[in-house]
Amino acid sequence: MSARAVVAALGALLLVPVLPYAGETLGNRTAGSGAVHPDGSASACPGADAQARQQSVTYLAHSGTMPGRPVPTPVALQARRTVNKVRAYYRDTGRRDLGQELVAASTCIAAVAAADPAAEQAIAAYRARLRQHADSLVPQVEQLAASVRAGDRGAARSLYGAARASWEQVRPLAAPATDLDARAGWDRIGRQLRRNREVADLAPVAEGLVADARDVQARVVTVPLSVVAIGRAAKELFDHVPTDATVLQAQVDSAWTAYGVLRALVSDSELVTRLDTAFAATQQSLSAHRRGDHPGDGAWQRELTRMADALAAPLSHLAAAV
Amino acid sequence: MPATHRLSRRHLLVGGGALGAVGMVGAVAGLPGGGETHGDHDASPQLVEFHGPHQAGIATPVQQHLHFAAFDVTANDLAGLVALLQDWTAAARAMTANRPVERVESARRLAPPSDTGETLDLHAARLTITVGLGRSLFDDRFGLADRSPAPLADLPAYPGDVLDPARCGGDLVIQTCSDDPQVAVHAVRNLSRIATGLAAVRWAQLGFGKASATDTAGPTPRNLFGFKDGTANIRGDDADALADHVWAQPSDGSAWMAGGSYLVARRIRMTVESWDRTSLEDQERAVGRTKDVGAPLGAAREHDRVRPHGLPTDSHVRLAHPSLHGGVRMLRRGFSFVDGADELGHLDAGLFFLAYQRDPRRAFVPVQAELSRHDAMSRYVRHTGSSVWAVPPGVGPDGWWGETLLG
Repeated sequence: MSARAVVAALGALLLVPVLPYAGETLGNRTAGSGAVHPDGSASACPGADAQARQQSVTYLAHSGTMPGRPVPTPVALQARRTVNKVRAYYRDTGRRDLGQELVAASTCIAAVAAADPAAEQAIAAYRARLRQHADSLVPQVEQLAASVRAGDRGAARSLYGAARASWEQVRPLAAPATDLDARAGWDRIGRQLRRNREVADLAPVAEGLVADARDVQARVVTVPLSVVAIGRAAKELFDHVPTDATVLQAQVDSAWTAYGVLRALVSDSELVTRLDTAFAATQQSLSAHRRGDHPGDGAWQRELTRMADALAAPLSHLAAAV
Repeated sequence: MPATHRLSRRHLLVGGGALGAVGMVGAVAGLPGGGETHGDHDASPQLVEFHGPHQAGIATPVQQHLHFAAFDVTANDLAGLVALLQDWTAAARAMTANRPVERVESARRLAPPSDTGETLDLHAARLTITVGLGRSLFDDRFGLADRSPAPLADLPAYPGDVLDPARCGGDLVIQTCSDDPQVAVHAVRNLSRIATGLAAVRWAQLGFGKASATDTAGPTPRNLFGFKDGTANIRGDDADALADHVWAQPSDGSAWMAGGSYLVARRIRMTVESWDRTSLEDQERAVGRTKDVGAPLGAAREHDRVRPHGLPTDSHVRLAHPSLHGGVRMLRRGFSFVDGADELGHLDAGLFFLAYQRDPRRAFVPVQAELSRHDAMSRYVRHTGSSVWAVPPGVGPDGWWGETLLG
């Protein structure tokens, strides 16, 4: 990228009244670029001089920001993307010839845009909830692994549900590769238990789940988060078809955690209604079917999938509405 | 490519000038008989008019590909059902006019796109989307228990039926047909996506190579037995035959169905391996026509008059002939299917039989009773799926499917 292009991007960021939605990929579910503190606080802004700061604040004031809700997330994303471009340019060329003022301003925009108290609060609440779940998960999965190792199916079955529920809660923070492996591992153990088959040979799989749980417990403190990432996580929980009612219930609970912290930030009241209704309907169906104690047959599997689809459809619009 | 540009622009006009189009369609529909024929006669053979007194996809020319999907309604009240049918109508109106599906809420980059996109560079290829209502819809969930039209009766069991419950029934059906299979699949895919939370796919069937025609352009199509099928089919421009045998009339009862039709869909598995080992003479005797030109046995040309009493008593053409069934006829619109191979390594192939009729109790039911008992061809076929649908009348530019029943 040329210096001219970077400057043009920065200029557009500062001057064009309506920004296009940023195309930045956030990775699987994290939103950190380094320019903004993981929690979205404005602490990354000290270098900005007064003029740049004023510029960015003026810009934000004219960019469709609503009173009390200064979270034009796309603006923040665009700013982050621009900062990334600047950094890449510096890194690749070894030059430092871009206007410092613009760089500082864009950094500041990113920080200020993300420094919405309501969003910060949501992110902090989400992190706290997941931290609790991660702290529960580690001993739960350690006990599960011990009973698997011992070949104690009864004990393993009684531990599986709660442990799986905790895992689904913290899943949004797992590294993408860990998530895939862990899901396969959880499903394998769950399947053996449902069929009441020997589990001792799955001990290595269970050990892997212990390692994954500890990994997430460490990540929960440090992993960068944004409201968009939380919204996206809620949808991604359902990218995997639930294998049984326990898993679907865990997915629903986990999505509820994410939606719960974002609900007050959702700008689209119709979406809130749709989501409230969908959560209630899913929970009602799940509870009704649980009481009926269904066998794991094809019809029941289809029913579970329909429930998951019905909830995932409105959830897929959550990230765009915060 | 200039041709593409020209076509796209026209499509844009058709789609974008909604108000203009409304006026034009209204004017055409108002002419005597003008509404009887569908199709865009404005030199745009890629588009079939969505609006009209009858749904497109019945009497309109048969396309090359089919995607047929039955749904269970999962909405638990009438409002949900109405919302679904309205959303479907709007999406179908767009897709049949070569426009992408639009939903306002997802015009944002962080939300899923409003259209899945696989047809953005394709033409509609005569796409038609046709909706039907199943008998199971008329229960107490939606307060429709006493509104079920009499012709929408369950079919009797026939000898030789080996129906798979997973291929039978449903509350709603979508029939999409196009000359481009990707366009037909795109339509079902997007409609089932839109239905999420309100209805879910119960079963579906893909079909190809139209197995009968409603127009006289080109040779009569052949089914997978290799025989011409539908030589005497009702033509889409035969207004008298359509009125007599296909369109439900106000005098039939259930006034909301006037202008609609009833569809019998049967998945007929052909044991093609056995058929292919059958001598030409036996094949022709089973059908009642010659294989090459499709002439009735004893005659020389395809369209020579059929004299049923001169044909073998167990031949298909004789047993199904209208003269043996009080003159009743059906508009057939079936497609061949091959769903890979079965567990024995035989082709899972056959005919997805689609027949539109004014009243199945007087058409499909007696004809199939005769065929299932006596037809020499039944040795080579098994009916593996079955459903009957009330296909409501067409919609105007502001209307929605099922409006005459639920509006």
